[in-house]
Amino acid sequence: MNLADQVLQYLLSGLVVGGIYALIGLGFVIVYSVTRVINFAQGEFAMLGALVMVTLTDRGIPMPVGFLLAALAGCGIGALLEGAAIHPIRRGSALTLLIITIGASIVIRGAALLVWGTDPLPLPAFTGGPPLQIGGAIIVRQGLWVLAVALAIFAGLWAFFTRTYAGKAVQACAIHPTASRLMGIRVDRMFLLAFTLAGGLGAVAGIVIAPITYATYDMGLMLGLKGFVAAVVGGLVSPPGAIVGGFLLGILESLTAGLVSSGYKDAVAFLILILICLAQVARLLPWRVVEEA
Amino acid sequence: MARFGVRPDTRALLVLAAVLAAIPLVVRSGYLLGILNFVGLNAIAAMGLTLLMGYAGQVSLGQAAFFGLGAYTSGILTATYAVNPWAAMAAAALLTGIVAFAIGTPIFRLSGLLLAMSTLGFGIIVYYVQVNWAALTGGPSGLTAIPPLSLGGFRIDNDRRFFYLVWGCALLLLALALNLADSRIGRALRAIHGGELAARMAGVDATRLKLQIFVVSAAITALAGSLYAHYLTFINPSPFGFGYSIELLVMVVLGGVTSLWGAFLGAGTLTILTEALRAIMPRLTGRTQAEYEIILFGLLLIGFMMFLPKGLAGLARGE
Amino acid sequence: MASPPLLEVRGLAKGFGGVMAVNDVDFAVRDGQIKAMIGPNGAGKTTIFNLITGVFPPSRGSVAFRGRPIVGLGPHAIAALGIGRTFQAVHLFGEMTVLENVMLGRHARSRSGLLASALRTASMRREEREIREASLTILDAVGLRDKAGQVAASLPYGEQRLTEIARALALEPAMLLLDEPAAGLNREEKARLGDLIRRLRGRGITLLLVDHHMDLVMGISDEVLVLNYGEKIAEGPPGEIQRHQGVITAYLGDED
Repeated sequence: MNLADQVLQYLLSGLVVGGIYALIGLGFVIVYSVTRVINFAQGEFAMLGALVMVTLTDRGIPMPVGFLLAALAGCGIGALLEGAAIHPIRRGSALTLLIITIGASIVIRGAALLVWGTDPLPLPAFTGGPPLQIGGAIIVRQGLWVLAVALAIFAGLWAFFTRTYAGKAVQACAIHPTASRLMGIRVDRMFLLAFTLAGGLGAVAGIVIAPITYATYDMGLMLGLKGFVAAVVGGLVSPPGAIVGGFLLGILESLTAGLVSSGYKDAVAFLILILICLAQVARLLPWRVVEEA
Repeated sequence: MARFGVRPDTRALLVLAAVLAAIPLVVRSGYLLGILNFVGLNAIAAMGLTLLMGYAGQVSLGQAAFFGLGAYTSGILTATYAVNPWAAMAAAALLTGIVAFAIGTPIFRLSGLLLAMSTLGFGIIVYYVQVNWAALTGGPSGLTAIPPLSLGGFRIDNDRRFFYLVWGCALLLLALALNLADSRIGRALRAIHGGELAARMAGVDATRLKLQIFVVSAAITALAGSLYAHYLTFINPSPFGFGYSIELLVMVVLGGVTSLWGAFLGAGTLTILTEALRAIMPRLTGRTQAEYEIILFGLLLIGFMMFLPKGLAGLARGE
Repeated sequence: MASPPLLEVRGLAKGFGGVMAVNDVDFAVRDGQIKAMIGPNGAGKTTIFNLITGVFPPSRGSVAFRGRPIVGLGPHAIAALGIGRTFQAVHLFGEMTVLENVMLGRHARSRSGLLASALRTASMRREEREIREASLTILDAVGLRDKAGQVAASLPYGEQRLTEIARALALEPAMLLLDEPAAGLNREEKARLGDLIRRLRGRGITLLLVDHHMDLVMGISDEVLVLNYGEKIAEGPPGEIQRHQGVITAYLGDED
C-alpha cells in the first residue's frame, strides 16, 4: 500500500470514528446550550445504547426494532438523569453540576458493570458482506452505516431545530432563557428535552459503532471525553461546530495512529482540548469557548 | 478566630499524633497496616486537592498526573540513576511544581468549567506519556527495583516503619496547611472564594495566588506519589490515570471541600470502604476482576453534592 | 499655586458593542475633596468607577493617580496604590466574619507570604497581631466593634454597607470611591453616613462618590459632576448644579 493509499485509509477510518464523535459532541452542545451544564455522562449514553442493543439482539429481536428500543432507552436514561440529579440542583453552580454529572457517569458505568460484566460483547453489523473498496483503501460496511446514520441524524436535527416549534423553543432557550420564559416557553421542559435528546443521540452513536469496536461497560468514558473535545472545537454552543469538530478529531486521531504512533492516538483529543483552551486565553480564536474568567 | 498559644487545631493534631503513634504497636496485621498506609498516602494527595478546591476554589480533574509525576520522577531518579532517594523526592516535588506552574499560568485565566476540563486533558496526556515513553518509564509494565527510603542505615522497608513515615509527613503537612489557612493568605483565599472581584478590589492578586496554590497542591500530591513509589518499590501507570483523579475528588467532596481535616476524613472513609467492597463484592457477584466500588463513588459524589455539600467535616461541626 | 489633582481623568471612553457607555469624559479630583458624580441610571457612573479601578480597560483615554498613569494595571495593583472602592450591591465575603472581612482589607498593606504563613514565623505572627488591631480600630471608628465576630451575611443591610466601607478603609487609601453608599439606608443611617464621610475627609481621605440621594449629595460635596448618556454635562459646586438648566432637564433628581 503506497502512502497515498495509506492516507486515504486513515482518512476513511477517521471519518467513520469522527461521525461518532460528532454525534456525541452534538449531545454535549444540545445540553450545554440549553442548560449551561457540561454533561459528563454523555459518553455513558453511548455505552448503554450499545449494550442494550447487544442484549436485545441476543434475545432475537430484529435489529431495526432493537435500534429504536435502544435509542429510546438512551432517551430514558437522559430524562432520568435530568429529573433525578439535575433538576433538583438546577440553581447550583456550574461546577457543582459538573461534579454531579461526573458522579452520574460513574454510577451508570458501575451499574453497567454489574449487569453486563467486563467482557467485550459483540454486535453483528447491520448488513452482512465484505468490506468495500474505495480507491486504494477499504471501508467495512458498518462504517458506511455509521456515516449514513450520522448524516440522517444531522438532517433530522436540522429539521427539528428549524421546522418544529419544539426545536425552535430549544434554540430560543439556548440563546436567551429569560426572554424565552417571558414568551411562555417552559424552560424546565426544555432542560428535560435537551437531556432526553442527548440521551438518544448518545445511544445511537454507541449502537452504530458497537459492531466495529465491541461493547463494554467502560467504552463510554473515552467516547464521552472525545465527543466533548469535538463540541469544544465549535464553542460548545454550535451544532455545526460539533459536527466539524467531530470529523476533524476523528481524522486527526486516525492520521496520528497511522503515521506517528498508535499509543498516542488517544492523547490527540486532549492535546487539542488544551490547545483550544490556550488559544482562547491568547485570544486567537474568533469565537468564544465557554465564558472566560 | 485562633488565638496565639495552643489552638484547637493544635490540640487535635497532638491527639491524632498520639493515636497514630500507638497504632503500629497495637495493630499487628500487615494487611491492616497496609490499608492505613494507603489512607495516609491518599490523605496527603487529597489535602493537595482540598487546598486547590476548598481554598483557591478551582476544580482539578487531573491530580493523578501530579501523583504520577512524583512517583515516576522519584522512581526513575533512584532506580535508573541511583540518586539519593530523599534528594530525588525533593527534585520530584520541585519538578512537578514547575510543571504545574507552566501549565497553570495560561489555564488559570480560564473560567472554572474550562479550567476543570483542561486539567482533565492534562492529566490524561501525562498518563499516556507514562504509558508510551517506555524507554524512560518502562511503559505499561512499569518500573521496578525502586529502593526504599532510609534514614542513615535504618531502611524504611516494611509496613510498620512506613506507617510512621507517611503519617509523620501527613501530620506535618496538615499542620503547615492549617497554619496557612489561618493566615493572611488563607483569608485571601477564602475571599477569592467568596467574591473574586471584591477580593481583587481589596488588593488581592487573585491570579497569582491561585497559581501559587496550584503549584503547592501539585507539589504536595507529587510528594505523596514519591512516597508511594518508595513504599511499593514498583510502579506502573495504571494507578495514575483518570480514575485516581476522580477518587481524590470523591475523597475531598466526602470530607468536605473546604476542610483540611475533611481531606483526612474523606481519604480514610473512601479507602476503607473501597477495601471492604473489594472484599465483599466478588462473593456477591461471583466475579473478581472489576472495580465495583465505582458505583459507590458515583453515588457518594452525587449524594454529598446534593445533600451534604459541607461533607463529613461539616457534619462533625454540626452544620 | 494649586497642587496637581490626586486623580485625573482625560478623554475617558468605553464602548460595549455599539454603545458608548462613557464618552470623552474629563474631570479631576483634588486632594482632600469630596466630589460626587450624579446622573440618571445608565449614565455611566459605575462604568467610570470600573474603569478607574481597573475592572476593564477603557476604549480611549487616560486615568492618572498622583500623576501616574494607571490604565492597564490590575485592580489589585490599583488598590495597592491607594484607591479603595465599595460596590453598588454590597460585595462582602458573606461567610467570613465582619472582622475577617476588614482584616482582608489589609492584604495589600501586609506582606507575609506562603512560606512564612505556613511556618507561622515570629514576623508573621507579629504582622497578624498588627492586622487584627488595625482592623478592630477601624471597626471602632465606624461603630461596628461589637459586631466584629458576627458572620457578615447575618448583619442588617446598613451595617453590611458600613463593613464594606471599613474593609476599604483597611487599605489606608488616599482615595475612596463609594458607589451608592446610601442605597437602602433609612434617614438616620444616611445622616450617620454623611457624618462618616465628613470624618473620613477630616482624616485626609479624598472621596469620590456616586449616589442618587440629592439631600446627601448636595449637602456633603465640594463639587458635583453630572453625567448623562455617558457624557459630562455639568461640573461645579452643588449650588450651581442645582440651578443648571441642562441638569434639571436631563435629570429631574430625586429627593429620597
